[in-house]
Amino acid sequence: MLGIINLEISNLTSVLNALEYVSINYIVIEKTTDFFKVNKIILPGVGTFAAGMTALKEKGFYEHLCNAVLDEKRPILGICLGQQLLFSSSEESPEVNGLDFLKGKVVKIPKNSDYNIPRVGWAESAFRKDFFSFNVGDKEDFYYIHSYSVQPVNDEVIAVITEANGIVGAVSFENIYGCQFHPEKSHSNGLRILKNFAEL
Amino acid sequence: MRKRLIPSIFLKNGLIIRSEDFKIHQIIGNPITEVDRYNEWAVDEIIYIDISKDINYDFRRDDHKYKDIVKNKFELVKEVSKVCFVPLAFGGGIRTIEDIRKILKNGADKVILNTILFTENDFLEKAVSIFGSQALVACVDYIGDYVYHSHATVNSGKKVLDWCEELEKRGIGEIVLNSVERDGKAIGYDIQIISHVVENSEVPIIALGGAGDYFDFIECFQEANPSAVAAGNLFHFKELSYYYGKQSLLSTGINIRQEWESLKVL
Repeated sequence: MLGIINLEISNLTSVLNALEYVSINYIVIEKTTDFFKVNKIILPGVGTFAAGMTALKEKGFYEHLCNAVLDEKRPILGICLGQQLLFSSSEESPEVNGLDFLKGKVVKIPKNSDYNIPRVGWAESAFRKDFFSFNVGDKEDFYYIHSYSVQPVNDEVIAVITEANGIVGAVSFENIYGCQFHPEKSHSNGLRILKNFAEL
Repeated sequence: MRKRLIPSIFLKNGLIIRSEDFKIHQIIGNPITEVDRYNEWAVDEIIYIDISKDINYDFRRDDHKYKDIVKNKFELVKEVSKVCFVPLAFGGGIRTIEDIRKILKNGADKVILNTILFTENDFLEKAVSIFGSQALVACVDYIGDYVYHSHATVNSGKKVLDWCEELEKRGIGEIVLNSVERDGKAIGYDIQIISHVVENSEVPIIALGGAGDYFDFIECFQEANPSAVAAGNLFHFKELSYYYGKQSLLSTGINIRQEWESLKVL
C-alpha cells in the first residue's frame, strides 16, 4: 500500500486527485501507526523547510520515516519541499537539520534572466539517468514553482536537470526519489511518474 | 523557463461567461465540462476568476443544460481540480484567510487576490506567512494609470507600477496585470504598461486583457516579455485556438512548452 504523509502544512488534494485519476490505491498517513500499513511513501510538501521538519517531528513521523527509508529500504518519493527535506540542510532555515537521507544542501535559486523568483512555470528537463519509465537522454517539460533548489554532494544522485541553468529537477538513489517539479501538476509526464512510483 | 499561454475562464453564478468591458456578461458554458477541453489541449495552466457578487450561486434556471452546476466557488474548485493536472489558479470574492485555505484545500494551486488587498491592510502579509508566496497571485485591474478594485468600480488611487512594486515587497508570488479597458475588446495587449511592469518586477507577470488573435500573443511576448499571457474569449470561441496559438508562438521562436496531446498516462 502507498502512503501519503500528511504534514498538514501543505495541501494534499492535488496529489490525491492525481493518484485517483491513475487508479492507484493509497492511504493518507495521519498518525504514526499508519506507517505499519504502507510499503511505499510519498512526502509532498509546500511551505518552509523549518515548517516541514517541525511537522515531521511534532507528529512523531520522523523516527518512523527514518526507519522505513534507511533500515527497511521502502521507496520514498519527495515532492517539491518534500524532496528538499530529504537533504541535509537548507539556506531557507539554517537552524534546522533535514532528514539527511541524501547528502547535500538546499540553496536559494540564484537570479537569472531565464526566470523570475519564485521560479514558476514549465521547464524543459533533461534525464541524466533512467527515472521510472523515462530514459537517460529524454527531455520533457515539467511544472516547477519554487525559490530554493537542491545541491547534492554526489552528482550521481541527479536524475533530472534543467540544462540551461543547472537547477536540479529530480534525484534518485537506491530507494530514495525526489522531484523538485510537481508531478501532480505536470500533465501526462507527471502522472506517469506517480503511476510508475506507485507500481514499483 | 517556458513562456506560458493561459486560458482564463470568467465565471458568474457558476457558469462561464464572456466578459466585455467588465459589464457585458454572456453565458457560454459549464466550468466543469470545460476543463475536459483544456485537458484535451494540454494547456499550461488554467485561471478561473469568479465575478459573482454573491457568495452562493443563485440558480433560478430550469435549463437542463446547466443542471449539474455547483452551489458555490469551493465546490466548483473541488470538482474542477479532480480532473485538472496542470496548475489551477482561482480568484474572485476571496475575503478571508479561511477562504484561501478552503480554495487550496479543495485543490487549487494558487489563489488570486484583488479587492481584499485594498480593504484589509495586512491581509497579504498574513496570507504569505501561512500559505507562502507561491500560492498567492494578485490580479491588478487597471484603467489608465490607476488600479481599480471591487469589480473595477473603485479607483484605489494607486498607480499601477507603484502598486505592483508594493505587492512584490509584501510577498506576492505572481501578478496578473489586467487592462479593464481592453477586456473583451480584442484590440491587443497593453504593451506599454506590461513592459514597464515587467522591467520593474522580480515576480512573474501574467498579461491579461485585449487578446483578439494569435498575433497579439506574439506581440506581447516580443515587445513586453511577460512570463505568461492569458486570454479568455479567444479560447472559447475558436475551436483549436489553443493549439494554433501555441503553433504561432512556436513559429516565431518563442520558448513554449510543446505538448499537444491530451492527457494520457503511459
